[in-house]
Amino acid sequence: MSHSNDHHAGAGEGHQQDHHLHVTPFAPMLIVFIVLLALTALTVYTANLHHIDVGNTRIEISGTAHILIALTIAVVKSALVLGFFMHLLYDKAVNTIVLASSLFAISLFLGLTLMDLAVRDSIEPYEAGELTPGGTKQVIRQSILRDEAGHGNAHEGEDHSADDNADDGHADEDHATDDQANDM
Amino acid sequence: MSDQQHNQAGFDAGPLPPAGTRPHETYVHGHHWRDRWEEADGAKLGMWLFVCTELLLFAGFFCAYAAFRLMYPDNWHEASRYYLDWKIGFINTGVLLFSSWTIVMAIRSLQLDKKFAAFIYLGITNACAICFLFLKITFEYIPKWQLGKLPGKYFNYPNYGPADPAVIDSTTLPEPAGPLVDAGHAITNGATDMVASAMNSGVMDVLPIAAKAGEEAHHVPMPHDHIFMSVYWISTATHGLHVFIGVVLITWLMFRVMGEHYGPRRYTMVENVGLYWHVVDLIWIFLFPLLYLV
Amino acid sequence: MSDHHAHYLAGKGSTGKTIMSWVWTYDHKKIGVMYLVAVLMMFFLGGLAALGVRAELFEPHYTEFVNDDGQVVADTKGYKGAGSDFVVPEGTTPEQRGVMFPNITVTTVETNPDTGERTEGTKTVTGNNIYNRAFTLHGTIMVFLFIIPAVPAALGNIFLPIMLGAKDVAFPKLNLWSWYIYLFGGMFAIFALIQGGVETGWTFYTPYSSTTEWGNVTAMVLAAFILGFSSIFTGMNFIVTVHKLRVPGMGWFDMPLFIWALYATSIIQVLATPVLGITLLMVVFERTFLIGIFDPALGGDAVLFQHFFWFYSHPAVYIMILPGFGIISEIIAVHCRKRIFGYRAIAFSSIAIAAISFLVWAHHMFTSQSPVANVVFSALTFLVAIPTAIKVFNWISTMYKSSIAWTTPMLYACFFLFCFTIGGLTGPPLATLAVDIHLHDTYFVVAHFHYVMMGGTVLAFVGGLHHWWPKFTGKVYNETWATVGGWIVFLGFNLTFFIQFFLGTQGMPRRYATYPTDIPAFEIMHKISTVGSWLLLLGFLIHLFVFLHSLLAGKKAARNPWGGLTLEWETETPPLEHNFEREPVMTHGPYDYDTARPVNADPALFPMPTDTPKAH
Repeated sequence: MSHSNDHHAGAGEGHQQDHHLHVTPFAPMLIVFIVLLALTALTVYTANLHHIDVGNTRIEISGTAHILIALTIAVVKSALVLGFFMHLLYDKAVNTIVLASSLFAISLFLGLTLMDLAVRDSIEPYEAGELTPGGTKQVIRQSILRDEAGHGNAHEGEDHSADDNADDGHADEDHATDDQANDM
Repeated sequence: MSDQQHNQAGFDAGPLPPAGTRPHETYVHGHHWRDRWEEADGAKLGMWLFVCTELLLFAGFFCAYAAFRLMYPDNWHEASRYYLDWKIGFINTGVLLFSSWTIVMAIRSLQLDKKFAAFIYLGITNACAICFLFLKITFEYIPKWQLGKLPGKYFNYPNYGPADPAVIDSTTLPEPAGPLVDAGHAITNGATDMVASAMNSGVMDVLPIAAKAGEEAHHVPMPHDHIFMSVYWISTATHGLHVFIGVVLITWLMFRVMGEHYGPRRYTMVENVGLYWHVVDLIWIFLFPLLYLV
Repeated sequence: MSDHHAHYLAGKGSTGKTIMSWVWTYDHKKIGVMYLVAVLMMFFLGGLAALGVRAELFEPHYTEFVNDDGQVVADTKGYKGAGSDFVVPEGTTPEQRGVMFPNITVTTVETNPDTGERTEGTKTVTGNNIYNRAFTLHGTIMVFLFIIPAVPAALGNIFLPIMLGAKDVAFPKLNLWSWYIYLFGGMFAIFALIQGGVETGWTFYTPYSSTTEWGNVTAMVLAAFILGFSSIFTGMNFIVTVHKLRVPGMGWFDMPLFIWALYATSIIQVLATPVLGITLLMVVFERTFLIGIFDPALGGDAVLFQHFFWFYSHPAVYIMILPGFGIISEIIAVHCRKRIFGYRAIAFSSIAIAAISFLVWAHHMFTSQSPVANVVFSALTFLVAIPTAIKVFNWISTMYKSSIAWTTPMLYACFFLFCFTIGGLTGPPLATLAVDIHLHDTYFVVAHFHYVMMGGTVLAFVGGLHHWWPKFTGKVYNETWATVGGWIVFLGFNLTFFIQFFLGTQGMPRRYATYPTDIPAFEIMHKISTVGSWLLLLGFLIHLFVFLHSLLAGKKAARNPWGGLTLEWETETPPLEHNFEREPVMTHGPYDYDTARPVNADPALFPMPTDTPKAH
C-alpha cells in the first residue's frame, strides 16, 4: 500500500523513496504574509503619490512610472506567493518549468499583441473610430443628449430629432451586414 | 529534476509516524500508480498544469486591459481613479492574502496531524473568501449597478458634463431622471460613503486614506469609460466566480478534514486546492493595482 | 479477478452491466473507443456539410446584393444562359434561380438592448445564407469536434498508456470527465445546428459574431468553449502520464515518437486553449452584456479579437497536425522495418513546433493588423518550416533502402508524405507578405489548409486507424478493399483540392456561395472539385464498410501483425483490462529493428537483418 523500494522509475525523475515528512514551516510563511501586506500598502502609497520632493527639487511621477512601480511590486508579491505559499521553492523543479512555460506563453500573447497595437499607425495612419458611434468623444456627447431626450424631459426639439437620427443610423449600421447576407 | 528538491532549508521533520487505521492512513492509491507519493506528485503536477491554464485564461483579461490602456491611456487612468475605490480593493487584497496564509497553515496543520487546527484554518480561509465576495458585491457591484456603471452599452454616461456636485445642483442642466440623478453625488463618493457608514468609520479610519486628488472630483466622462467598466466587470466577475468556486472547494475540504481523510500521509487535495486558492490570490495581486490604482 | 485478465472489450455478464461498464468506465481504452466512435460520426456529419458546400458550388447561380433600401447594388452577372446584361426573368423567385439550398423560415428571438425585452418573430433564411451555415457547420464540427480530439483523445487515449507500459492515464476520472464534457459540448453544437445553424464561419470574427441577431452563435460559441475544457483535460492527463507513468527503464528517449508528438500536442492544448476559452467567453459577454470590447461601434477593437482568437487557433493547427506526425513516425518505422532515422531530431522538432506555434499566430491577420507587425509575423512564420522539414526528411531517410511492406497504413503514410509536403510547401507563399495580400481569403488558402489538415492529419488518422485497428478491436480488416478505399480517397482528395490552388490564384474568394460565369474557368474548376468530393465520399464509405465488415465478420487478429517493437504489440489482442499481464520490461528501444526481434510475431514473417543473407 505505502511506498516500497522495489520500484524505481528509471526515467530520471524517480521519487525520493525514503519518505520523510516535509512540514511547511511556520515562521517563513508568516514573514512572507507580513511582507505581502506591507507591499500592498506600499503599492497603494506609491499610487497615490504624485511627486517626490528631494530637497528643493520636485520630481513628478508620471503615469508610466506609476504603472511600472505598481507592476514591479505586483511581480515581487506574486513571486513571494509562488515561491513560498505555492511551495515552488521546496518542490520539484518540474513545477517551476511548467509555470515558466505558461509565463512564456503569456508574455508572447501580451507582448506580440501589444506590439501590433502599439505600432498600428506607424506606417499608415490607422483610422480607428471613424465609423464608430461611441468611438469618439463627440458621439458620447450625442449619447448624453440622447439620454436626456430619452428620459422624457425634451427640452429642445432639435436635440431630440438629432438624436433619433443618430440612433437610427447606428441601428442601420448594426444590421447592415445581416440584411445584406440575408438578401444575397 | 533533482531528487533533493524536497529537502531544503531544514523543513524535514523526520520520518513519517507509523500508519494507523484512520482513512488518510489506510488510503489505497490508484492501481496505476507505483505508490501514494508518486500519485501525489502526479496530482500536483496536474494541478500546476491547471494553474497554467488559469493564468492564461486571465491573461486574456490582462491583454484586453493592456490593449485599451495603450489605446486610451488618459481615459483609462481617469476611469480607474474615478470609478473605482481603491479602499475596497485594498481591504480585499488584505483579506485574500490573509486567506492565502491561512490555507498554507491548514496544510501545515495537516502535516503535523492537527486535524482541528486545519479545520479552523480552512474555516478562516472560507470566511475570508466569503468576506471578499461580500465586500465586492455590497460595496462595488451593487452601487455600481445602481449608478448604471455597467459594462459596455449598458453603461450610463451621466446626464451632465463635469461630475461636480456643485454643477449638478445648479439649474443649468436638465434634471436627470431615476436613480441616475443623484448619482451625481454618489458617483464621486458613493462607494466610499457606503463603506464609511457601514463600517461606522471604524476600519476605514485606520487606513491611510489619501485625499482624492483635485482633478478627480472634476472628472469629465470620457468616451471609453464604458470599455474600462467592461474590462473591470468581466475580469472581477470572473475572478469572483473563481473565489466562489474556491468557497465550494474549501467547504468540501472542511468536511473531508473532519472525516479524517487528510493527514500527514495524505494531503495532496488540500495542497491542490491551496494552489488553486493562491492563483486566485495571484490574479488579484495584479488586478488590484491595475484596475484600482494606476 | 477475471477483470484483470479479460480483454477490455469483453462483456460483463449481462447487457446492462456491459453498458454500465462503458458508461462509467475509467479505462482509457474504453474512453478512447467511445471518443473514436463520436469523432468518426462527427467526421461524417462535417463531411456531409462539406459535400453540401461543394454541391452548391457545382454551378454558379444568380445573386443580387441588395442595400438597405432594397435596391440591387450588385449581382453575380451571368445567371446561367444569360449574358452580363442579365435581367431577372419575370416571375422567378429566388428558389428558381439556381440556388441549391431552399429558403427556410425560422423563428427568431430579438432582444431589445435598451429594455432587455424579447420579442419573437420569424425570419427567412435564404439559400445563400444556408450555404454560409453549411460551411460554418463544416468548419466548427471538423475543427472542434473532429480533428482536435481525433488523434489525441481517440487513438492517443487508447495507446498512450499502453505504449508507455502504464496501466492507465494519470487521472482516469478526469479522462472520463473529459469525454462527457466533450459530449456535452457536442450537444451544444448540435443544438445550435438544430436551431438553424451559425453563419459566422468557424472563426467567429467580431463584430459580426457579437452583433448578429442569430442567437445560435451564443450556443455554438459556448460549445467551442466547453469543448476547450475537454481538450485541456486530455492534455493535462497526457503530460502527467508521460512524466510520471513511464514503465521503469523507459527514459525520455526510449519513448515512441507518437508519444513525443502527443506530449508536444498536450503542451499546446494546455497553454493555448485557455485563451480560446476566455476569447469565446468574451464573445458571449459581448452578445449578452454588450460589453463592446470587440465591437468598434462601442469603441472596442475588432482586431483585438483576431489576436485573441488566433493565439489559440494557430497553435490549434499544430494540435491537429502534431499527432498526425506522431502516427506517421510509427507507421513508417514499423512498416519499413527499419530504425527510424534521426529519432532525436524528430522528437525535438515536435517540441520546437509546439514552441514556435505560439510565435506565428498573426499571419492569419496580414490584411488587418499593422504593417510592422505583418513584417514581424511574416518573418517568424518561416521558422515553422524548419522543424517540419526536418521531420519530412527524416521520414524519407527512414524509408530509403528499407523493406517496405505495402500495407494500408504504409500506403496512407505515403499519401501523407505526398499531400502534406504539398500543403507544407504552399505555406511559405502564404507567409510571404506580398503574395499573401493577393492570396488572402482565396481558395488558395482553402486548398493549403486542406492539404495540411486533411492531407496531413486526416490521412495520418486513417492510416493510424488501420495500423492499430487489429490491436484495439482484435479483428483483421480486409486489406484489399482498404487499399482500394485508400486509393480512391487519395485521388478524390487531390481532385478536390489541388484544383483549388488554381482557383485561388485566379481570384476565387473563400466563403462565397456562388461565382460569376463570366470566368468559365471558375465553373470548370469548381465542377472538378465537386466531383472530387464525391470520390472522397466513396472512398470513405468503402473504409466504413471495411471496418464494419471487420467488426462483424473479421478474423481474429494476431498479437503483433506488423512486427512492431513498441509496447502495445507485446500485450494481448485486444489489450487486457489493465493493459499488461505483468509490468513490461524494457529490453529494447522502440525502433531497434536491427537488433531486436519483435515479440509475439512470426520470425519467418519478420526476419532480422542477420537471419538471411541479403538478396543482392
